[in-house]
Amino acid sequence: LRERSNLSVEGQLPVKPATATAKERQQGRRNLSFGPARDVVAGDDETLVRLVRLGEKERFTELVQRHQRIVFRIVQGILNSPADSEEVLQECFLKAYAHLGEFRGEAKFRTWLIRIAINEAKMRLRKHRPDLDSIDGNEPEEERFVPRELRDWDPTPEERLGSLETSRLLERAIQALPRGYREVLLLRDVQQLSTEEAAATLEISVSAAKTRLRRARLMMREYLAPHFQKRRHGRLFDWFAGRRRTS
Amino acid sequence: MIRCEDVLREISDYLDREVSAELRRQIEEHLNGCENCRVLVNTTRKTISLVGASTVFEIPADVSERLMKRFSGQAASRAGRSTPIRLTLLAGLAAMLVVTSSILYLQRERTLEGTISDTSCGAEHGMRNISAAECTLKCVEMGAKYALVSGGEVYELDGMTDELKAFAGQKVRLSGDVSGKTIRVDSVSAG
Repeated sequence: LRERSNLSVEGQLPVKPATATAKERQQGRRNLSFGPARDVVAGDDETLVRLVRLGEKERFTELVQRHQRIVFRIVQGILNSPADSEEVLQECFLKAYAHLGEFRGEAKFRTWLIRIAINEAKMRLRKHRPDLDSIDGNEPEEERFVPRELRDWDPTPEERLGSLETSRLLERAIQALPRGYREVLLLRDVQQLSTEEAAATLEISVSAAKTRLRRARLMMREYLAPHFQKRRHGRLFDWFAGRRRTS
Repeated sequence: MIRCEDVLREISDYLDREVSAELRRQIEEHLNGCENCRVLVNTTRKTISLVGASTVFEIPADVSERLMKRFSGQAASRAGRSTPIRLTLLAGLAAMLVVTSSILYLQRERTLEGTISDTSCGAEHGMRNISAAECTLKCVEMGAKYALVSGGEVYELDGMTDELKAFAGQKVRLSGDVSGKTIRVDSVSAG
């Protein structure tokens, strides 16, 4: 398989999970607070990781099942290409499996996995879409942001467009953000991670994550405002205006 | 005294309820008298709520299916591991009797033509845009066995892994003891 990530360890043998003794496997299971090992779907990631490393390789499928959605969302948020995102999604999990022996448990497994996904996505951008990467990768300069759209919104803006169209609009708004802001917003507001976990995943300070998040939210608001602001004259006026224009 | 620029600076923490009680009180006092800031805060809150409730960048069902297919190959062959031990032993003994008699009946030296793949992917490789050889080698690295896809059947291959590695993804002519869907490989050559 071609190595595409900056996390690749060229020249090293793939890391194989250690073979477990029966006693170790039993110990791994005893640490679970629920039924037999094959029903571990509700178990925490770190327990599953331990079982995989003890030799129960098929348990990795449960980790894939559990995290495929978040990984795809973040990768697609960065790449905006379903075909590229699918490949990066697969490569991310293959890489995570191959390097599971290097997972030290200092961070959450999810944090470690998303970090791999983001690195894979960035590597894909650099290799296949360098033009986009060079524009998109620049951090916006520190500037004084002045909100322009200060008319109030409809109380239920999503009803104006419908949920599907609202989602598409939100995707366009997120894609319009500078990448550094987009990554924080995807982790914090789309995936509802804590600010601390988002910062740890992106390997930035909590205060940097908060600054980016604030700007991302305000930029999103500006982008969405024209679609959701209250009409100036009300629907009846619009209807009359429309009739006069067409008559 | 809180000003509009202070609200703009604290808006995110305020909405996340990460400001002190005193700062919160001051901001709310400002919002009572400032229509622009009130709109800014309310519409930013609505933005966060819309993003959180949305289904943006949702993984398509077919993408998820291909991913799970890619990773569930090994799991299927190892299902049932935690069945109670006595049941497992009984089932194992029964299976051994059936398997042994089947082996005696079915095992014979055969030569087959087909393509070298792996037991995880079989006839259809899950990874797109990489070659069949690369996908096979990666699957084997992850624990799958080499396989021969021949006449619509997938045979698990036993032995001669170094030779099979050289033929990954290629058409071959392979001889060995066929036992059900497993072949103990005696020789392999380009097909």
